[in-house]
Amino acid sequence: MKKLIYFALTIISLGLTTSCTSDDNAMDKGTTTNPDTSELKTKVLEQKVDNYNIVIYSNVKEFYAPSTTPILVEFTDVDNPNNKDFSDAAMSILMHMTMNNGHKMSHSAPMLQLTPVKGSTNKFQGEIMFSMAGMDLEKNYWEITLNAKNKEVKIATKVKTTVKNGIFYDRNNIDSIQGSDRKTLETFNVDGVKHFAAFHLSNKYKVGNNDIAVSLYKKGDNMGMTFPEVDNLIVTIDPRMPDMVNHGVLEGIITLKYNTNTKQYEGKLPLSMTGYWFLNLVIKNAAGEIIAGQPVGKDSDGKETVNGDKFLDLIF
Amino acid sequence: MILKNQYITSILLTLPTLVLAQNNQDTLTNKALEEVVVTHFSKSKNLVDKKPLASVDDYLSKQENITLVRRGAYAWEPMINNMAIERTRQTIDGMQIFHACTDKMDPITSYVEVNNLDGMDITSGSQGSMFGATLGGSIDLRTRKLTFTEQKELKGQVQTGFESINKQKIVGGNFDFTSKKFYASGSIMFRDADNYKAGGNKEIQYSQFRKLNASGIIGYAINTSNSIEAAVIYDKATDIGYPALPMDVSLAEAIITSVKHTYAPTESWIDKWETKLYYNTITHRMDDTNRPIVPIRMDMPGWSDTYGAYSTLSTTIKEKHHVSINANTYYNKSLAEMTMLSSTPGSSNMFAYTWPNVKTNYGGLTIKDHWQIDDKNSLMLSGTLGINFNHVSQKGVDQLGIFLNDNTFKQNKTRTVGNFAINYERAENVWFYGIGVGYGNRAPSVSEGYGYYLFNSGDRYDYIGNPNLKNESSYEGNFFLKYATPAFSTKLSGSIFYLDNYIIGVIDPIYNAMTYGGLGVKKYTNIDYAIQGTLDWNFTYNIDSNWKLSGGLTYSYGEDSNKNTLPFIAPLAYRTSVDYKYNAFRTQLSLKGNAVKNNAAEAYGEVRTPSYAIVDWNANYEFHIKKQSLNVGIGVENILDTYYSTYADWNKIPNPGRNFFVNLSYKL
Repeated sequence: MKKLIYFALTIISLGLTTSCTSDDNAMDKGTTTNPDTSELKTKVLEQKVDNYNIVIYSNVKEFYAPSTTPILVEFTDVDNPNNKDFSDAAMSILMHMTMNNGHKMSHSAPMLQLTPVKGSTNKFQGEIMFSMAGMDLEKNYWEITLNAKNKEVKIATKVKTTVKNGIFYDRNNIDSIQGSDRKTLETFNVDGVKHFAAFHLSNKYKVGNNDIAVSLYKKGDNMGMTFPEVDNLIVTIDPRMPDMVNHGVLEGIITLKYNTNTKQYEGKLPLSMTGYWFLNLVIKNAAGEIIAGQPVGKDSDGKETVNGDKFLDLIF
Repeated sequence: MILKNQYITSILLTLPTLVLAQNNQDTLTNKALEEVVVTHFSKSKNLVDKKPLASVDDYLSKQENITLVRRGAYAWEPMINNMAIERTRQTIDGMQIFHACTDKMDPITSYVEVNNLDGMDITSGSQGSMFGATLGGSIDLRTRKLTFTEQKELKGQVQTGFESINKQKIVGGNFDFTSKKFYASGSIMFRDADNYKAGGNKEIQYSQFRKLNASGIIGYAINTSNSIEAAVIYDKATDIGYPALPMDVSLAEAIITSVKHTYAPTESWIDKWETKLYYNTITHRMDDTNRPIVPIRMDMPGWSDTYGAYSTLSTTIKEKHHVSINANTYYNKSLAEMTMLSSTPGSSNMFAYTWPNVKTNYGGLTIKDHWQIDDKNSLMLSGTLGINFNHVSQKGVDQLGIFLNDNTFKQNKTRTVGNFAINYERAENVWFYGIGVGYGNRAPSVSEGYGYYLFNSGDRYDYIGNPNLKNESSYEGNFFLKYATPAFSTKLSGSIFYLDNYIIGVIDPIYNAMTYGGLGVKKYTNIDYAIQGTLDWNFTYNIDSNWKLSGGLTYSYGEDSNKNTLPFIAPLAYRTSVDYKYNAFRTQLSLKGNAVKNNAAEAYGEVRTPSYAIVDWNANYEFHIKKQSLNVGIGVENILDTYYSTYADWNKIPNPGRNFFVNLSYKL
């Protein structure tokens, strides 16, 4: 009988031995993925107003154009760090230009208004579609007007910033991927009216299906001060990896669907691996006629390597 | 979840064991049958060969029911009844070890060396191994066994060899020390080979390899019936070329460790009770660094770690039932990744997990009863019931979610697996015959369930795993008929398998290929069924005490439910040999070949294979020098320098041409 008990105990202990070896967090053995760029942790601008300190964070060190740039605005009370009850944050943006003849002009750009960051009362997130560069804080610059409330105290300030010219991937030069800025804002004309395709900040990209959203805006009739959303076009994306023989994704061309609630064109992007993804953009009218971009074409070897001139891109 | 599952498994393991053990308590007989002759149970002899320093692959290739898929000069993939690792069970001393390469470039048989091994146990069909469910059969490599001796004994030998075809240099040695309370043994072997040459002196690029293997065993006798043993095998192969594949292996490294307790009482109902705890870890680095022109440079390392334990109890009931009970559990973690190095300097590399950290827990119970009904009749009953649990990382769920646009794919999956077989045998003077039936049920392998873009250079498709696969099951029938007299013996045997829900890659036309030059994507799918079978005939004729003639024929069959031939089904194969021995001198001339294979598995990327036949010769002599001896083995393989490739040569890489070898073993 003693032996029986010993045998039973042995068997049980065998089962337990292996149960102690589950190490669920030991996934990553030396991955080579790029750092995630969707987090808004880089401090770009800082300004003091009265006893408030306002910091603007983004995912880039320096604003560039054209781009759809996410920002996170954080308000703090310098005198009382516990005072975090901020509300009604809103921004407006203006590009100030000085012409060669000294004439001054200004216009706005599309944007996503600030909204509170979930679980926070002093952080607000939005997006600015910088449509052009301006590198002179006296003559050519962008100005972000910020308004908010701290309890009943109104806060208002203007923050000036330069925006550099973005350097983007040139589809005729594969080496230009290196050091390029992400293409998140594309422009095109419909009947002589300037339109914008803005690629919204996604959560962290993963190998798998990713939710993506693109907004279309057009220049309003009032000298570039408003940018109404466009809901009657068709947005298609053909994701490609130019530095990997321009291979595509499983489904081929993806057509985004317009969501009337978010006023964005939305869809799933199946990214089969990490790396540089060129999103070949083709915009069609309601009749299905191409009005901007070209589908990926074949080269002289019959391989689909000729990308169109309108695109968005991402690296992860 | 993992924890919970293992508790369930442990309980499952314990209950039937207790019940069974209770019933046997009064039985005092303990005489185990020394030799168990079972239908189709080909218990291989010790690793004694005319070519003592042949590779483990060479030994395997000479075994009944075994064929090998060859991707180069190293690490051939064993198949039993034309079934690969997913459908068979391959273990080393009962230890589960899982290969770490997504492309099967490191079968576990590549992590041992001939001087680690005493022999191998090979079984056919679902009566399979003691170590878990199987459909096609099992291979258990038996490592060296030592026993305690009254006197202190020290034995050793040094070995060296050379093969002309790839300038392979072999050097090694081993020792055994035994005493009353303690034993120890150690071995080391090193092989270094250049590219081999195919028939007609054509050099096969990227067929080199280098391998170092070392092992150690220590044993201690606690008392007359209890002993404990610790063993370790270390194997490191570097710079391995795979001429059939677009990539090579810079490192394949394994550490295999175990601790074993053996209880072998003299006066007890227990004949033998062995319990083992083990751990092994494999690192496999596949890359294309040595290939001059590739569309995209790739690194594809893989890792496989396994922890496990088993306990086997053998007993004899009423002198007729020879019962073995085995409780077996293991945990495996398989992770492999693919990095495509961007051709653009400074650009980010492309990365994905080809095995997205897949964890497998298995717990099972196997019972075998060899029932010697009377002098003529015997029955073999065997069964396994086990639980297989898989857990895959969230990244794996995300990746494979691209292909499964629904929410049916969960991180955890539990499956019940098992097999059952019954074999009847009868001996009548010089006639022996037997029939058997079996059932087996298996879980999908890591690649079949969770693989991600596994490029198969044979059919040029990328393979995608499918976690929602159903278990594959097999219904098997087998028979043998043997006539044996001291002078002449002959045996006809066969097996047929009906494989329900057969798992194989099926083209998914929606998807593009990802790999450069690929034709598309295949998703692992359960097809309706497949049928496989083998029929084998062999004979041995001892002409006189010096001369012996032997030979045989094997026919294999395999078709899926759409009448497509399955991949890697052997064509008609034949072999014959003449042996001569005189005192310590032995020599053999042999011929082996395959008929033409016209029924290539075209649906699975195979092409026709022409017939071939090759002739080998070897000789062996043992010189005794006092108490020491020198064994000299020489031979010529492929004497006619035939240029040929077989159906099992991946991408039809040609086999080695005429090879002269010399093997020397000096026993101290």
